[in-house]
Formats: sequence, structure tokens, C-alpha cells
Amino acid sequence: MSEHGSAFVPQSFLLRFFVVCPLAAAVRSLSEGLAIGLGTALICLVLGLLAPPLRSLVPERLRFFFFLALSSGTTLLYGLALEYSLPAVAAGLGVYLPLLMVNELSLKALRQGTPLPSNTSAEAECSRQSRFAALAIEALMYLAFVIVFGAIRELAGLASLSLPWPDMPRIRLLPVPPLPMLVAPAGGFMLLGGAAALYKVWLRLRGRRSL
Amino acid sequence: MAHKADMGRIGLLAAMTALFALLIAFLSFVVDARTMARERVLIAALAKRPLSSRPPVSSPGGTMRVYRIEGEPFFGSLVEIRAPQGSAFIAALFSASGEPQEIRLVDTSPALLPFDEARLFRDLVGKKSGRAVGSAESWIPRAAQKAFSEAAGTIRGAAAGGL
Repeated sequence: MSEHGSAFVPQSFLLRFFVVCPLAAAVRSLSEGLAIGLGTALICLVLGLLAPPLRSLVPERLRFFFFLALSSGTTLLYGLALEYSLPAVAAGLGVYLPLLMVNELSLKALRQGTPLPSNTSAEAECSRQSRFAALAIEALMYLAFVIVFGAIRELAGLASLSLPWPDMPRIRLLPVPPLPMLVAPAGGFMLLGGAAALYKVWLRLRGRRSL
Repeated sequence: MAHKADMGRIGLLAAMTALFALLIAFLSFVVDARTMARERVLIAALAKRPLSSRPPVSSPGGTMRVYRIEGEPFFGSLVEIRAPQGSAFIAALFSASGEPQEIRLVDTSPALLPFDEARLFRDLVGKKSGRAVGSAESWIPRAAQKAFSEAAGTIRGAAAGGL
């Protein structure tokens, strides 16, 4: 909270960085990238879809607690589904799976899904649809990012690529892992730092200095 | 009148939340039942004998369950080895004193995590068993020692309790 008592809402780039930080630590392989990326996208879309119609039903003073419960419940359901179908992947993700409910993207979905009322119902509906479409595109972009990120970590750290289903072939692509450290938690942040540096270089090449 | 409408909305909300909680509770029972069924199949396959029909004993943290092998002084459990680089599930047979007798690698995440079942077993009890899956990293013995010592404590407790 700021000193004026309003909620802290990070600026766009910082928010995106907040979203990928916990994912970067958690995702060590292509299969874990798929599992956690799908979870993030699903929870974000469910919240974005359910929050606007439920908003009128929930009294103002209960809104925060209700939507937090909705977010926690959806995350729990996804966690149970993952544990049911892919127990090893769910165990590997450990505490990072429940953390999806307070992921910055989920909180953003809640914020976008519970805006102040517009002047007319048509305006409100139009605004709701465009917000949901923007949220869906963003969720899919995070899904793609996390999958690629996990694949790079697994390839560099374990010299292999594997899909989460036990019957799928597990492919060893290189004889020796080129960078074994990348599969450790610190490796995730090293890769994220490298990606941020590349983004900064790309911005400079385009003639922009600020993020 | 407005107060009455407000109370009605809160009641509806409470009912919806309760239904949602019941759905989660029901699904967690389903997942738990499936996990237990999977554990029983894996341990029975390792022991080559059926398991006792008595209910399993859970570890204090609820992270593992111990099953009795029918007609044998052995216990079985699915031990999870958790380390920063990933986790592995091991089906293991123990004596009543908590010493591992046989282990089998069930699954790892990430899928091709370097793992050497034979070396792990040698490190744990000074015996050789199982098939080699890859070269072991230094974290595996440490994480395995921790997981198996917790399992041994649970098994000693279960044996003393008459499982």
C-alpha cells in the first residue's frame, strides 16, 4: 500500500516480470513448463470470465475475500487434476503449484474482472469483452514463454526433452548436458537475467531507452 | 427491504461457496483413493506378494503411507526424494527395523533426471540392487538419506503399533 492508502499496482513491464519470476524458478523442464503454464493460463481465464458476472452478486465488503477464495479454489482444483493425472510432475512442482493463486497474472485477472461500473450496460459489456480478450492473449503469451523457458532449461541442464505423459518418448538430444547448472533453481534466474538483458539490447537497437 | 435483499445475496453466495468447497473435498478424496491404489499396485509388484488388507499408516507429516506385506515381516512405501533439481518416486520394501531391503525407481520429474538406482541403494544400505538409469549427482544421496530416514521412522512406528 502507498502512503495515500491506495493499492500498489505495478507498471506494465514490472508486472510481467513479477509474473515470470516464480515461474522461472519452478519450471525446470518442458513437461513442468506445460503443466504450470497451462495452470497459470487456465486460472487467469477462469477468473477473468467469472469475476465480472459475479461482481454484482457479491457485496462490496466481501468482494476481496470472495474472489481470493475463488482463486484459491480454482488453483486447488487444477492442482488436484494434475496430481490425479501426472503425480510425478505435480510432486516436482511442489509448493509452486499453490502459488499460482497469488500469481501476479491471477491478481491482474481479478483486478480486470472487477472494474468500476460503466455508464451504460452496452459500454460495460464491450469493455468486459475487450478486457477478457486482452487477458486471454496475455495468458497465452505467458504459456508460450514458460514452455520455451522450460525446454531451454531441460535441454541445457539435462540434455533431453520430455513431455509430461509417461507413455510419451523421452528424447535425449545431446550426449552430455552443456550447462548442468541451468536445471538448478539459480539457473532459472540466470536464464531470466539473460532474457532481460537481451530484451534491453533489443530495445536499444530499436532506439528506445526506457522499458 | 434492501437489507433483506442483501441478506439473500449473502446467503446465495455462502451456498455457492459451500458447494465449491464440497466439490474440492470430494475430488481430493478421489485423488487420494487413486494415489493409494497406485501405491498398492507398485509395492505389491516389488514385493511379488499381495499387501495386507489393513489400512496403511501415514507418516506424521502425511507425506507417505506404509503398507504391510501379507504374511511377511516386511513393509512397503512409496518414498519421494525431493531435491532442488527435481524429485523422484521410489517404491521401497523395508524390514520392521526400517532398513531398506529392495528399491525400484518409479518416476522422476524432470523425466530424465540423472539417477542411479544401484548407487543409491549401495549408499543407503551397502548392498547392490536394481538397474542403473544414469549417473548419479551428488545431491541424490543426501536427499535420499533424508527421505529414507523419515520413512524408517514411520515404519518403526507402524511396526511398534502392530500394523
